[in-house]
Amino acid sequence: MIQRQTPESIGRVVATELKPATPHQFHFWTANETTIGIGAIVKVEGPGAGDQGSGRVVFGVVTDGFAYSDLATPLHDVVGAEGDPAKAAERPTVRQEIRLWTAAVLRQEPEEPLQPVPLGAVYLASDADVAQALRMDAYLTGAQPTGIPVGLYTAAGHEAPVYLDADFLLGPEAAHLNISGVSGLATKTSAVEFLLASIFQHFPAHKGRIAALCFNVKGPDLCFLDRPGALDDADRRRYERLGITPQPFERVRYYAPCKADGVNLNTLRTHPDLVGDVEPLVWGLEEVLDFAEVLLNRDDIDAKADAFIDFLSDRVLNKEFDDGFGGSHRVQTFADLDGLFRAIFDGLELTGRSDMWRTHHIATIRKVRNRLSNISTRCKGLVTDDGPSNDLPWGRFEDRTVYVVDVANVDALGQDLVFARAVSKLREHLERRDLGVEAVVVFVDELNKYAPGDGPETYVRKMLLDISERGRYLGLVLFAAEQFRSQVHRRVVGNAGTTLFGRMDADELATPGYQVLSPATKIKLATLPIGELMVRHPHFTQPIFLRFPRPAVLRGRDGVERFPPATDLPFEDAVVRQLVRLDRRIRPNQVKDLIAERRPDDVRRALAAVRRTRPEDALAYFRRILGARVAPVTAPAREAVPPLNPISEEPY
Amino acid sequence: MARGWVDAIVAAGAVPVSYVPEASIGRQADAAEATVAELVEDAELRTHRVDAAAPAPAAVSFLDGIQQWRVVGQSGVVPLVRAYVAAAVRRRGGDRRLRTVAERSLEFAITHVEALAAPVRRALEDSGVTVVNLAATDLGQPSRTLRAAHVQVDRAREQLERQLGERCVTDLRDGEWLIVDGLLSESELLARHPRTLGVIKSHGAQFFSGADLERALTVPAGHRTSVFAPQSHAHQPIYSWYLRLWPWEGNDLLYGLLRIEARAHRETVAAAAGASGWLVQERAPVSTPDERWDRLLYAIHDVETYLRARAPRDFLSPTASRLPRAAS
Amino acid sequence: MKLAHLADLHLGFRQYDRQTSRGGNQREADVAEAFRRAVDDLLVQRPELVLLAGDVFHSVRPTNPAILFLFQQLHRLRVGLPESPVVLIAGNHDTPRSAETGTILKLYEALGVEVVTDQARRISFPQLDCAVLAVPHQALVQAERPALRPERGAAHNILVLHGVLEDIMDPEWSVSDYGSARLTRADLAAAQWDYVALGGYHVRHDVAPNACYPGSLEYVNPRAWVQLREEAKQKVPGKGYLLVDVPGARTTFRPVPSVRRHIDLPPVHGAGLTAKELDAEIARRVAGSKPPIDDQVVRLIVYDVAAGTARDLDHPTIRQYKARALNFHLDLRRPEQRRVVGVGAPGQRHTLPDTLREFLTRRPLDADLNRDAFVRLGVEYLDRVGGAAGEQG
Repeated sequence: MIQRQTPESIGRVVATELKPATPHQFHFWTANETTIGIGAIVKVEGPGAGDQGSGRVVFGVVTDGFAYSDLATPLHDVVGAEGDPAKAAERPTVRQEIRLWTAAVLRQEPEEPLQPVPLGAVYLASDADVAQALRMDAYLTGAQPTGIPVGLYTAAGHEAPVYLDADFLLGPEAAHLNISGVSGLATKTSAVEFLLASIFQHFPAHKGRIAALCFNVKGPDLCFLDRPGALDDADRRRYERLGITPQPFERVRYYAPCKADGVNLNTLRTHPDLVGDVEPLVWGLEEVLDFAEVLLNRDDIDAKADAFIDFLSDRVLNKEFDDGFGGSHRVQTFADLDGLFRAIFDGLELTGRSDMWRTHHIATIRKVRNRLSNISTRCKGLVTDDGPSNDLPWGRFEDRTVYVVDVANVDALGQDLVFARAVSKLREHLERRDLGVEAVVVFVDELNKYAPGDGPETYVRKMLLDISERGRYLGLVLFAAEQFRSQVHRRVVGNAGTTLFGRMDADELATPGYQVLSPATKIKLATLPIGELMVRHPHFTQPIFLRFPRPAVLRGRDGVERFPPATDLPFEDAVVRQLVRLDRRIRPNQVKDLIAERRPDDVRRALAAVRRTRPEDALAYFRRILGARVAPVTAPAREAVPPLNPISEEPY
Repeated sequence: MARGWVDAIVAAGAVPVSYVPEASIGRQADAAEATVAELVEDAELRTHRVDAAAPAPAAVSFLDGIQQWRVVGQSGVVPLVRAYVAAAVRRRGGDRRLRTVAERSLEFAITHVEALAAPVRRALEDSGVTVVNLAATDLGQPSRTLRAAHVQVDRAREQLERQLGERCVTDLRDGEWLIVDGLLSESELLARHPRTLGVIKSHGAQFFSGADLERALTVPAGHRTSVFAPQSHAHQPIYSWYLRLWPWEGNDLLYGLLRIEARAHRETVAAAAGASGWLVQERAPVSTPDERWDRLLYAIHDVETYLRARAPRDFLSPTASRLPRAAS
Repeated sequence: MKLAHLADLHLGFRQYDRQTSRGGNQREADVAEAFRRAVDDLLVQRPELVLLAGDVFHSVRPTNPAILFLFQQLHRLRVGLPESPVVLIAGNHDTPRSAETGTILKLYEALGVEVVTDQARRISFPQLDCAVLAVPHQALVQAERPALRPERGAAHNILVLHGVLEDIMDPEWSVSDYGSARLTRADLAAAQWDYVALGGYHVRHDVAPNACYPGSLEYVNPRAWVQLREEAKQKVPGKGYLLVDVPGARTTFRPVPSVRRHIDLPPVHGAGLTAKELDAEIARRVAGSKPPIDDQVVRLIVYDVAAGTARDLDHPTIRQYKARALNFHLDLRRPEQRRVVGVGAPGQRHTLPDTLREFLTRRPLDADLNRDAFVRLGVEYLDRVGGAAGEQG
């Protein structure tokens, strides 16, 4: 702690008729050489404050700065320099000038009666002052503190840790976090990684267990959360100051869909040393139909199609179903479903009855069929036609574990599907209190894609709205990031209790959502370096600028360099690799012999079963699931049938 | 003590008034006097281009003073004047910024004590304020009395400036210069110092006539006249020359015209070119919005601004203050 | 190619004590007769391949008449259709529990029948350009199952096996045997086969357009009444076998008329009725039976009959019914009541419906469900199971 015994004042509050001090804002001047800047937290001591403590103390954050000299008009500067800018620099005397700052009030002591800021001395805030200014004293002390370190407030060579209130970040008082900023600086992802680590280390014991579900939507961003990344001394010092151990996540579970071949994983975490803990994410018809609305209303809202999908889910799927044309169907796979569709179309055509089948119009049926077959072809690898599904461990979520679902290479429609299903399942389980943890942080980037401010209503957006409005009671917490906050649905960002801003685009800052920010704050936002953020949190009356250390995990880009993704293996080799990872004793040739001339679907299914069961003898189990091949034997030539024994009589 | 004594004399029966004479902010112009001067450079008055590239000294101190006064009470026809004078030296170092190294101020009352009503006089004497007594002959018509008061204020200010200047000049370090706003010749100590200059903006005194006068008053911008020695018994011997900061054409003859005073020494003649050079550079930054900016050096302006910022605020004439007041 | 698909003959199945004129069990004779009729039809239809999909015998050690009867019938087939191979697999009923116990089925190899009892076999019939993967019960229950997949080399690939698909195993309505091997659709991969001939489920049922259970040839399962209800529900005309055209798997159900009917008379609700009135109701039901109950298998459920009332019924008349029918099962159900049991600690022991009712009344329930209806339905289901169970044996 950089605390001086007798702090020196750095400025004085000034107030004029044109620029008076008010209860919410004040102005002060400093030496021209001051080290404070926009975002600095200052303390004003009114007369009688200080040692006696009886006077008014006001905390404020600098929101704007002004400099000017006694120059009457710019023309006079030109005159003085005789029109030659070079001469202007040679002037023997520097004009009188001023550094005047505007600060927004964070807190006043005493809070009542609320009065204009006294015209007192201005000091730089100390650690304790920062805690008091941001009202953190309310949740950092007491029997059950709920502080989550979020970064270091930094000003004039002074650093103070800043904490968020877990009750307001992760529920139940408020919840959700939104982070916006231009892409390419890795600030958003880094901030969330760092904050998750902080949450995992500081989530208060009395609030129970917590896990995170992160959707990796681009590149290798979240693919190496379990690997240590490079930190410099400054980072380590910041970690120490924040009371966080800099270490990668101890428990990370990766899920990625397969590629179209069904064995190679569709992720960048395919380096042989790492691919072992990537679980395939594979869904069947049942899982898709649960959330098939997602597929429909991207382009339009269609109640009829919705109804037909419900009909398929409720009446057709996994049931004995009579198509009305004499055929009976038990639909379990996409292929079965297509069989049913064909039977319906053929039936309607043959009977020439009408365009309606069981109150559903043929156009609706065709539409649903198209969408469903679309998903099974466009998301081959995520959606299996007839293989077994492999889903997230619903009901068995573990404490302080990050579940990464890598959908970076999945078609947009598939991403929607994954997102909708995963979040809805989380919600279901949290409602029933049987997820395995009490709270889950869901991190999703590119929020503007899922919950855009304009465009048609979609299932995913409705779901996000619902979470943002009710998730805090359930422990379902959304950490969402986007480049442009203005492009996200207002109620989704509006419900985020905590908001982080990284470097912002100037056009974005010109949108109405940022009107409350001073021009200087906007400039600071527009030029914010990597590792710095502006945070808004319910306890803070003004946005605060923070610096946070690099996350202690390997960055996606570095990870790909250190652990280059394996090239896609031929089918057989991919199977070998997956089996060998489950059981080191397995010899490649054993596997290859076993799967030679088998159908890939069968091999995939067997592989999935091994993965699911984790048997001691993986190869034996794999062989068992595949089943023994039965070689053909030609039927022996039949001899003439001997005549029956004449004594044998009719037995009955 | 500020206005304590004013309240006391008003309480004692003086009629409170508020009158700020027009000349109360500035100083009295140089008395229009015709003097003779002896050329010490050149045989006849000539103009010389200044050395525009001459470097300004590393450290220069600037001395200036202000004065403010107003009539605050009347005891019969005898006015009670409240006066404030202040002077400061601000030093400019390598960073080209001015910092105050010495300053003094003085508040006092001016009246004719003996003519005051007894209670007012007692109150004034009891207040402990310094009182400058006018001569009985100065009383009578208000204009006459005020003129006399003005002289007293000028004198007090000049005295303060001189005292500060003399104290400062003894402390000047090697190579450091002192620029005085006004006459150098009023102080022997200042007039003899090798690195002091007086900068005079008003030109009441006339040293030349005929062609010399014409040359002196039409000296082009960036030029100076030959150095001359004004002949005056009232002042310390000094050397002097005219220096033009800005072209006068299109304005008036005195536009941008300074008269510089320096030590009466032959080295001064040699140094005039260089000193003039860096003084011309001092014309920027311009001292707007001061109306005299064409010849007011910015550093002098800065000292004045500094002094005014620190002066009591209640000398300024409130607008609309001349409306009749209900007696109470 | 035309093939015939039969399953679940259950030869040697015995039930009730009615005997034939020759002293054999009448139901055993009925079951044999059904197969005889099937063979009669086969000889007319002349399939090029005959598949018997398990449970040819009702037990591992069938009766001598059953062994002999099958021999005769297969002989008829072989003689009548000398070019048509016959493939027979063992089901759960005719597979020995231990490997040491031999199987009688091997006997029929002497007739040139392909008998598959233990390990799966893929039998090629070059003249038919067809390969049949024959998977007996034993092959499916052992640790390492065969892969139920066609192999290259034959134009037509047929799978014949004995086992039950998991998704049609409904515990309540089960008409299959508990001992059957369980299969998933993925195990079968029906789409890869020209035809999958299944055995082990006693009501005709298609699990895919080309994967079928023909059902048993007679109501041999103890839960005959459930089979009847299921057949009615699925609109299955009764018992029979399938003729299948390959490729394309176009199936034709060949009904095999039963020797006698199973008649489930409309139930009587006895609450508030005296014994005499009940007698009258029962008589009315019997009189209304079509066909008449004579020599048929008949059931009549009477609900809410108090013990006293049951005693006072007209038992001589009932005995007459029993004499007329092959079997007349008058299923008298007691009114639901609490029984006081004097054993052990004093207290009330609930009947099963009571316990269920109490449990369902307390069980957490979604708000939008009507609890009364829910409880009523639960008890009703229990009742139905009880009814089915009451028929066993």
